[in-house]
Amino acid sequence: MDKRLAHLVLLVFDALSFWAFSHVINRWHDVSQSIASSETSIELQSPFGLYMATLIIPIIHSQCLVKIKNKSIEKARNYVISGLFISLLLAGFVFDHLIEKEVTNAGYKYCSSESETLTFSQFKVYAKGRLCQ
Amino acid sequence: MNTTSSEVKSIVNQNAQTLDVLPAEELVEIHRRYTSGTTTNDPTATIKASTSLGLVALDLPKAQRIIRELGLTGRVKVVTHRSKQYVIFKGNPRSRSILTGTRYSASNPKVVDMAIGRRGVNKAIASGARISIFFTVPVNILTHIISDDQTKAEFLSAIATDIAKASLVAAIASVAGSATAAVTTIAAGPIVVVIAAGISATIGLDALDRRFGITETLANELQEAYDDTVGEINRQAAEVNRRLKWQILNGRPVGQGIFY
Repeated sequence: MDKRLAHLVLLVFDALSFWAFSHVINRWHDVSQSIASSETSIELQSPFGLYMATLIIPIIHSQCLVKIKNKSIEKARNYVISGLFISLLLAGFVFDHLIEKEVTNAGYKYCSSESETLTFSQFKVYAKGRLCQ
Repeated sequence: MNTTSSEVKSIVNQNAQTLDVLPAEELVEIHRRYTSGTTTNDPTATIKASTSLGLVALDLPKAQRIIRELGLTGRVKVVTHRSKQYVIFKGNPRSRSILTGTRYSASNPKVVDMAIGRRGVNKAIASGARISIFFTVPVNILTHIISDDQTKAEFLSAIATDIAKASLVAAIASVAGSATAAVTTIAAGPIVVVIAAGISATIGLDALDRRFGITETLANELQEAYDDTVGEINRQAAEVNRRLKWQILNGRPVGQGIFY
């Protein structure tokens, strides 16, 4: 792939990953609002926090644009990138756990009959103040 | 007092009450659901969730192999010389155990096997997609066997969408991986991007599927197509059977009005 085209493609992926990250934050905000307004059901996708792992794409892309000649700095940078990726993956799982805990702590109960399992993710429905259908 | 029928209807609708008559066992079950929050234990959900996590875990050893061979700071450069692509490895070749040279052709089996360079990344993605299809189809079959209420149309549509999703994820990850391989010198960079893009594409496609009901619509279409073809033939055959029985029981010429 031509370098210019590669950068353009990665720019699209950068934008998508920022959008994915903001989507995760917005979702958390939405869930908190749903809890505050005592909605009868809340749907959570699991795994959802793993969207955050895409942040590694703009990070890797940005480091391609900067040339570092000092070997020790470059070494440190690569360690930071690897550490960040592992942290983002772990943060995804922690996020899922935290958001689920927030919902169950608010008195919502898991409703398996309304939940759905697709190929790689589960859509869990939590209900409060009504029967599971 | 004059009240029209529509007014009577609206008054009745406003004061509508629903009375459900339930057997005692069902009432107990509803109470149990309401208090425990869960209805039934779905073993298929656990199987599917474990499979998806297993598939993600399968990609991680590839990144780990590159890091083990080249180190966290391992760098590669892809250069094209006389329309042939080469992968140049930076750093001391003596510290490596598999890639002991400094320059390899991009199609070298060692390089491709380590998922380095565009060709290597694409090979890793293709094998990943193949594995995900090999995993999801049996899981769907198992789900169909275990589940009591899944129809054949739902089963077929689940397989069809799963294969389509796996192919789409492979395509998206391939584009991201190839683009990264073209610009980065970090050896593990493309495979890390492939993993990140692959995970997000998978979750995103599932979310789109759920939002627009793609699998459900496909299942309904399949069911409709089945009803219009095989179902219609079955209904016609049942009708012929019913008429023949009636003719035999009533002493009428058998097959009249049907065959002649």
